[in-house]
Amino acid sequence: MTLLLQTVGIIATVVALSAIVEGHVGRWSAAAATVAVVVVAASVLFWGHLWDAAKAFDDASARNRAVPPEAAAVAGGVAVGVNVSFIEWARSQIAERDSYYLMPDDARANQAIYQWLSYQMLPRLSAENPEEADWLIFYDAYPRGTYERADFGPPVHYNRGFAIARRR
Amino acid sequence: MRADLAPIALTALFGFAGLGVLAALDFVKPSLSEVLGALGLAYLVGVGAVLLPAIGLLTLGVAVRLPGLVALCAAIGLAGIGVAARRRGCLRGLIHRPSWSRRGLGLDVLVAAVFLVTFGMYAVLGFQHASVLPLDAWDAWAIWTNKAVALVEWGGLRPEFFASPAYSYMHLDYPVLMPLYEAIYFRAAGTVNTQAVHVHFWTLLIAFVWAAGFIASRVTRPALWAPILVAFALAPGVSSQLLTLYADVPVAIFLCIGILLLGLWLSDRRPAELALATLFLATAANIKNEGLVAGLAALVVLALVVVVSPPPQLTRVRALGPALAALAGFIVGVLPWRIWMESHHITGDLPVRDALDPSFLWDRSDRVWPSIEALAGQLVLQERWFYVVPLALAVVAVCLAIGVLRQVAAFYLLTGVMVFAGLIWAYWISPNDLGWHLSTSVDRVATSVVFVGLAALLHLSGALERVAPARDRAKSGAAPMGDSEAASRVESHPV
Repeated sequence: MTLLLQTVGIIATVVALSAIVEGHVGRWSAAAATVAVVVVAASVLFWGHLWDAAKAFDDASARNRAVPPEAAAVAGGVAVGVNVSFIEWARSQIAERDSYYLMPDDARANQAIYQWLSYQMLPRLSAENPEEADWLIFYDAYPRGTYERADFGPPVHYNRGFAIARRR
Repeated sequence: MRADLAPIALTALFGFAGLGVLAALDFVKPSLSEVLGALGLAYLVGVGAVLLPAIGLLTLGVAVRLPGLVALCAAIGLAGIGVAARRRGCLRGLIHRPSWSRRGLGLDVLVAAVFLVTFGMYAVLGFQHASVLPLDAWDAWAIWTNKAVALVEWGGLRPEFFASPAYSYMHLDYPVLMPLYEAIYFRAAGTVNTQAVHVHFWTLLIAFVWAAGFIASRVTRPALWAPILVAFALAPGVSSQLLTLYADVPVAIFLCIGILLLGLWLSDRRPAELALATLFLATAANIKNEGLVAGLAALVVLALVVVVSPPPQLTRVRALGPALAALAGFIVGVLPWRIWMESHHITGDLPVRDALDPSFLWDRSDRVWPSIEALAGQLVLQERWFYVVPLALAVVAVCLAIGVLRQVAAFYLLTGVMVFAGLIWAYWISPNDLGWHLSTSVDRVATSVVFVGLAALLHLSGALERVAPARDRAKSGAAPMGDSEAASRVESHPV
């Protein structure tokens, strides 16, 4: 309904302008009035927003220039509250050709954690199940009793609740 | 240093390939001013002409790395220039010069120059902003850059990633043109710099303004298209959204140019316009599924319009031929990715096979009206879209009412309606919770509809501007102007 009203409003302006120009709404005056309305609207919108838009860019540039590249690279993970420093540490421990499986299920079900981790870990691939993984990554969980100890070595801790374990 | 030069080198490469295509199609004449004017269009054409075959190679298991891509750009550019050189002379008379260039409209060009130079300064600020912007929008890293990094690492579509259920969250069915576009930048820069890659996308917007201006200049005077284009490029729905690195603005950019070229083809039937339109629509379809539906919708509407209202000298069947050829070209452009998906058992979120089942649709009919309300609600957010849709609707209405390019106006209107309907259809059949689905996507997918409006605005405003005053017609004893006459005025009667 709002879209209809906006369109009708523009057409009404065209009709009024056309009537003023030619004394009646003729073919030429309607066309000319339409063009005039379009150009005036575009010009007003452009000049009216130019300063704010340019200033917003300039301010944002100044802010973002102060962000170190390392921090900028993980800004997406920080924005969704993921422990990016742990993942960076895990990256340094796991070879690029190896695969991993994120544990526990709560962390896998958390879209932010799972998606960011699988992005930041590339080219290390996320396995579909622990049996196919070269490594287990424990995110905010105590590893004891949650995995096949016979298949994987002892967990190496980054800090409390954050660890990795390598397939034997 | 390499990271700074990468976007320049890539722009030059895509531009060279695109210029070759434009030259082969006789879309630009061999003069410095025409080539400079066509650079934005050449860049976008190059992106499509290079990345579509590159996707074909990827789906065949061929790794696409930087040297191969440079070779592909060079081959396309040189082949196009070779074709143009062989044909030069015999088709010279068909080359269409910008209509305004013949007019000597000093003030007109001056007004446009003020807008464009000011916009150029804004664009420089945009480049500075883009070069340091962190990548923090969820879908940008989770879907698009994720796939781009994988392409950088492996050069190809490794199924353990691109077809693995472990990565189903990144929409495995989405085509890979945009990740490839990003990956090429990362390879050229020599590092995965997720800040500087924003520059690569800002280039798309600048090229779009340049390209749309170049095309519009064939039917619209500069003082008309320049304010429309630069105002629209400034709109937050365009500039801010583009820099999230989501795919919706890139899709809409290619869609808009494709639909604008289809509209031009309807009014003057130059094969080059139809060929380029097909390339643009196929490119949009290889960016995101919305592009596929919208591109198909535009071509179906085109076929419908030419069947309902064929040119006087052609039968309906013969008139339909070029539209069907374009549809075939579009399908060829889309097929490689779809075949790869099928061969790797990848299915999308949408139950497309059920989508025409009346009982399935009826059971979910309660989703239709909220979707329409939400999508239409986005189109009226004028602090975001700068009145493009209502202005376009008004221009279409005036064209239909006073008989200026009625067929073309109907094409734009129907295409906009069909693109809108395609989006509603997607919400209708989607298995996702409607509230969540709308809240996370409707503000972005509305972009395509708005860009269709922009195409209409650029083309039809120019046609309206050429409607002569009644007293002039009376003086010359001309009969009231019909569609075909209005169309010819667009081409041959400077104001």
